[in-house]
Amino acid sequence: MANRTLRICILSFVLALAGALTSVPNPWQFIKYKVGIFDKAGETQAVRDSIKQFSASIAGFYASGGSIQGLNMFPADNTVKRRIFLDIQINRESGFVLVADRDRSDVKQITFSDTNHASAIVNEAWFMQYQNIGTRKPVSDKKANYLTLRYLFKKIGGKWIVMDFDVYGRNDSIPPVQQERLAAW
Amino acid sequence: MVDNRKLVAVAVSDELRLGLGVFAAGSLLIRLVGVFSPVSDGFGQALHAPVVLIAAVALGIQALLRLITQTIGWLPGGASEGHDRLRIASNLGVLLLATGILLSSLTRFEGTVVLAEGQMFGSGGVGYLDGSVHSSWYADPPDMKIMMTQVIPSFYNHGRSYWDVNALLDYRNQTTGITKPASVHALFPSLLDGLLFQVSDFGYSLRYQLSGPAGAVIDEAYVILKSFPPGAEDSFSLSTSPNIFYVKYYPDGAPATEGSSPKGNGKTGPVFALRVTRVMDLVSPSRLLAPGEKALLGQESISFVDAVPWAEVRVVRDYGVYLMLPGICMLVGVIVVRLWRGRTA
Repeated sequence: MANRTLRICILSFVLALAGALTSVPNPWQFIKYKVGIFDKAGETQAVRDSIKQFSASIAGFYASGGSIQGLNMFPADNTVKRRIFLDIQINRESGFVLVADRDRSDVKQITFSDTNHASAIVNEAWFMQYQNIGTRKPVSDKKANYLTLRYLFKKIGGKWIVMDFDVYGRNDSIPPVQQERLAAW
Repeated sequence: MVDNRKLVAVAVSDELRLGLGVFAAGSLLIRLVGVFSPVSDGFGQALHAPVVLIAAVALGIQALLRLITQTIGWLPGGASEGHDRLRIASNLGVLLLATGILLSSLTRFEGTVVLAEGQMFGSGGVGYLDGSVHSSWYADPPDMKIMMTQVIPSFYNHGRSYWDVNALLDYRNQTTGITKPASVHALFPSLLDGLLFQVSDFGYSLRYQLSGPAGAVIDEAYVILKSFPPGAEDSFSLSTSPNIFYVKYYPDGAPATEGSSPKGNGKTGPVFALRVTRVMDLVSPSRLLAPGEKALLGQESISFVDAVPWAEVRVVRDYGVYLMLPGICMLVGVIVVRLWRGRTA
């Protein structure tokens, strides 16, 4: 009798787990991630490629003074795109373009919170200089920026998209990502 | 030929009830714990998940069948009259609980509002925190006004955690026009005009002042930030500036590891840690600011002059609770009596 009761309880709980799994968008991917057969190396490389593309696109947008060529390739959420083009527009209105060159990029850490969300901590060195928009003559010294960036990614349509990023100084402690921020995506 | 009595016996069996009960409770627990998602579902959402609702309806129908079959004598009687009364009580408890869950799924309204001391909120279903409103088909959003008069946190762990936050409100029912003071807590929900209020988060709202080149204040406002516990970082931006302002707030001075301002470290009073970025540029590295101390940002400067506590208050109207609570009490009572009888037998 006790055995039968136990069997009923276990079977019902397994059914409850199966029922809850139906609410996950991609249950098979989720199970693979949970049991550790997720292609971590492949996904890590895909995140690295996305970071590289993100930096290259940003440098292009700034140097061209806001040309939208290559916008489709830019792996960023619309809010990030808006933030960048607002800044370029403010520079243009002041008569400047910002030439930003990424010198070095050292990916320190990539963390997957599930199959569709990841964050990356990257040490980057950028050289920045303002130029006159008409003559392209420098109007400021070349400034070296040694930064630590935290990128927050979501996988959309098979591509890792930057949903947001935070900029820190090299010696700053990086606080944990607030769960509410992740849950919003 | 199908034996109706056998079919009914299976439908009203204890095994089926146990299976359905474990399935419903398990489904609810899995969602509350957040096994398959980065964050837990709220209680309301977890309770109204389709699988939980289906199991609850099935349990309710079974309890009703059990009551009927017992009354007309199809179900074999218990060992004693007391045993039969317990069966009736447990079936009634399950029926009340299941009906309550169903009613809740149809009528529950839930919303969250964040108010700093001195702030007011008026609602007819609008003004709640983005994404916090869950309104069922027949929900009746409360028409009310709330004025946050005081937020009193009770800390432990050297001010890094709170065990309760007491929010003192002036609550006005817009339908009746009656205003009354209310005290809402984080520890337990408070019932007011048929609404359940509970504090779900706490932090500080910081007042910034943006000054122009001549030093005159050109913009100032309070910004609500997730600035608790001390050291938690949140950010805000202004429509007039491409900068993002990352701020931490230390009510009782910053730790030695924070910031590099000569005026900051070792301070015992409130301190703000500020970092300003502009896309891929660090405009102002992390530094500590005393209240009113200015951080230069090119031609402009920013300072923080005040910090007032805010509380996040969850407002729930759920008619299903009035059936669920007695149902749970009856079931708990039945379990206690059964355990007590088992010990004395």
